[in-house]
Amino acid sequence: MDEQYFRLFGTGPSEAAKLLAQALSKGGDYADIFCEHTVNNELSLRDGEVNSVRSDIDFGIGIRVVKGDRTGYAFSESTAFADLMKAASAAAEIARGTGPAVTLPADCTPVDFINRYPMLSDWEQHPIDSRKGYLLMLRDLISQADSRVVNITGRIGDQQTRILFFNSLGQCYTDMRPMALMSAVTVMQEGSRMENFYASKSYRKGFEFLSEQLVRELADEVVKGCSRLFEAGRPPCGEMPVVMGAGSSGILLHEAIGHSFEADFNRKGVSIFSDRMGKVICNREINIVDDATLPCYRGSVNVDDEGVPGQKTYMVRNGILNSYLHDRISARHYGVEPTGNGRRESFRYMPIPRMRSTYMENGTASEDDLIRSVKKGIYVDNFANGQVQIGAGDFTFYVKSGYMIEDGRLTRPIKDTNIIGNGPEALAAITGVADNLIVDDSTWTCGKGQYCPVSCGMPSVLVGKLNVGGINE
Amino acid sequence: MNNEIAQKALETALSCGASDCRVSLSESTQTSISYLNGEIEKLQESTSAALGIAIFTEGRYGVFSTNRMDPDELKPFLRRCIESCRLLEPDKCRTLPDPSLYYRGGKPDLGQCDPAFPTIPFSTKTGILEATDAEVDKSDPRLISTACDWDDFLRSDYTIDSAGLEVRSSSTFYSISCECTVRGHGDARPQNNWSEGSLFFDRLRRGCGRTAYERTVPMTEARKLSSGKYNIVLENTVSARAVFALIAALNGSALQQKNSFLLDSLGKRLFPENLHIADNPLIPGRTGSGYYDSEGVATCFRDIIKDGKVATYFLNTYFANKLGMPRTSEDAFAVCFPENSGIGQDGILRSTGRGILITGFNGGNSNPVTGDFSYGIEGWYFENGQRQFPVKEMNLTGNFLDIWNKNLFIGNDPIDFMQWQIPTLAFEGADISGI
Repeated sequence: MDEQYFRLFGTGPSEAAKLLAQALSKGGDYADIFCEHTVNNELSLRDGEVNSVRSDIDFGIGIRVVKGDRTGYAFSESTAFADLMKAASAAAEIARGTGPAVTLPADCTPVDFINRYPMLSDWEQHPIDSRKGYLLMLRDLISQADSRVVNITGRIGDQQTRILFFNSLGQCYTDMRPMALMSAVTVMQEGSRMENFYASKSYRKGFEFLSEQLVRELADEVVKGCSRLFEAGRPPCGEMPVVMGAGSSGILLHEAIGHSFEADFNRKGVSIFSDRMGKVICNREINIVDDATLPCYRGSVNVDDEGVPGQKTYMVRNGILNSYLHDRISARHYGVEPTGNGRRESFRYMPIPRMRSTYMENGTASEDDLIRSVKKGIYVDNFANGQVQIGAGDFTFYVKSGYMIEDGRLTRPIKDTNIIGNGPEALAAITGVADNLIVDDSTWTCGKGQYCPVSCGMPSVLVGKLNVGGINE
Repeated sequence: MNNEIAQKALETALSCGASDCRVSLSESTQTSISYLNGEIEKLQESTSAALGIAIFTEGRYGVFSTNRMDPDELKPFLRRCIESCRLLEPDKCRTLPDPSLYYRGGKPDLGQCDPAFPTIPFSTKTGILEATDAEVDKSDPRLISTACDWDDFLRSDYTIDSAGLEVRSSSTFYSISCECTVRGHGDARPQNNWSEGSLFFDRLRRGCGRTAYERTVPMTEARKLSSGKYNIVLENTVSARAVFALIAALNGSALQQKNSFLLDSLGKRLFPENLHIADNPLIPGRTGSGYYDSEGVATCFRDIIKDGKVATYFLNTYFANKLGMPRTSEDAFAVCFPENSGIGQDGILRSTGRGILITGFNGGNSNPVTGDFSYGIEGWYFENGQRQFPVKEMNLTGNFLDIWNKNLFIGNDPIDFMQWQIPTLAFEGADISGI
């Protein structure tokens, strides 16, 4: 525990004990206090110059009370004890009782966890202009790489979030959560035709995140990605085999099954996987995990937002649905241990089950094997966004670019197509998994009423049949 | 609202070296209540306040925000903000607006704020949720769950700048929604929902539960159609999707960055001759109405597409300066169709004859540079103007310019509480991917 955080938030163990007592005064089963101080900075490149900066400070304390499956929540942006007691009283109302039902522990014990994202160089020690050179390098690399470039925008963002947490189980922790990102957009023109391409990198790192290598990778990705689009057209439409390239294809897992495995949906019986625990749901060689422990990854968390240490959770093991992703409420509902998936966007939100870094473990095939096995289909490797209907299981993801597969070979590039499928059917239709797992390092952000940074990854896989949005030929 | 905080922040920024500055203070109070199967599940009450500060110094610009408003913290924060700005390259286009464009007050109330907001008892809100839940047919054995949500907020904004701007506004909004989940074929559990909203409590319609249930049950029989060209009708709940891309493409940021499929389109006839789309933020009692934008510049009625020609770009001060064009409005606040086909959804289905009524989008996206799009869809297959069976898990693919040039009908039925008044829209011969 870093006791400087007590001063920052004006709240230490003794104040927390009083607030928790107030929060549980109407009979709640459980309460927690989530104190957050976030500083966010962003520097932008536009029209060839670094000429815009933004900084935001967000500070507040959220108090939650749980009674069975019910949750009461309130927050205060003030550290005045009277304001915090008022928030605790508001949250307490959910229990609707007349007196406390649990006894608070006398002391709080720090949660034991491994720091998965130690900062080597604190962002706060580096003034804004120390980032400028990297944006100018990005500009030069992109503009020199291709004469068709007509516009470049770039962005470097850094965020440091300090968390102080107490709960009624006698647990507490402090955590410093860094987040860094760099992104680039280029627009190119060839004759009258224009194309654009976006790429980004993001890690939980300090200033050491920025490097010449990072900038070169980003510049290379946007230039090559945009160039390819000039050769690309719309694919034919309809159902066909889809080979999903390694890395960002993990969006398939995130949308097709990840959300459906979040235990709040299953607890309410509204997920298509609600009755499938312990059953075979795909090829027995498939293992799918949701992992908080990948060093410095965007989706990693040392300890979740309700005091559960970060961990690696097998959602699917040997093709069998092994575990949902739990917060404390769903874990109690199912009589299992929480899996450390209780996350929230900020102190303004109550925690709910959220993914972290979701990926499929390696299989035994090669990507070439998968492509060779397809007579007519598509290969996809760059995505913009995805979505799922939890109950129906219908998911989609938008393909920014890929290729046609014809007679086992990649042929013409394709772009701008939405792919739609059904989660259980798509999972069962995975007929090949390659041995080239990549966990993607782009700025993936998941929306579920509130936003959370996540990561996703996958080795190349072959899905036997998905609906490809294209043109009727 | 403590306007002195904003005034003090402005004074401090100027005394610390800002050449110009704009400060906005926003305060909000909101309540969210969730019911699951007739029982309260979640309750959240909150009050929030934040300062937004735009700093112009020596031709440089930065934008900052904080919810730490104690003067002892604000002054060093503002000093750091100005120091950050000074490290940038100058951009002469970053200026405050021409003060002659500012809204100076004195116009009639636009009816955005319900004075009854603080008086609505909590028990009234939960009572509405219980009634909404009770509208769902609980005897249906297929019903798995009913989730009803209440949300309300009161928001107040006060904006001042160093050129003499001083504007303030308040608004309220109430909404109820209901989502039903039913058991479908196999493991499928189709869901659907319905929402109602209003600026004023006494105008908030009931009936969400019944509508949500009636929209959900048929989806158990949803199927896929064969791929092909179909006429499509976009229900008024989702039709804004067809308009949003046009507005985004006309925004100064997209145009100046050459990230728009409507580059150099001003005054050009790119749409059907009868197409008229406008922005009218001055209608009393309409969601989204307001006399000024975020820079304090007065709003007005504005044609967006008129006689099929692009009639405006959306240019704030920065992008107007960048493009060397007059400042217009920074965005579209209350998009509407002043002329329509004089019929609602039923009439449009009858007149269109056969096709797909799209009632929901499932993901998808568009390419801002080309206008190409591809979206997942669900809805109903219809023939002879009658709904035949529900459809799902298909894709709609095309290009926004192409599809607007195949527009068949513009309905007369926008949803009254929506900020953008987009009615049912029909288009001919769209590419649908199915089986």
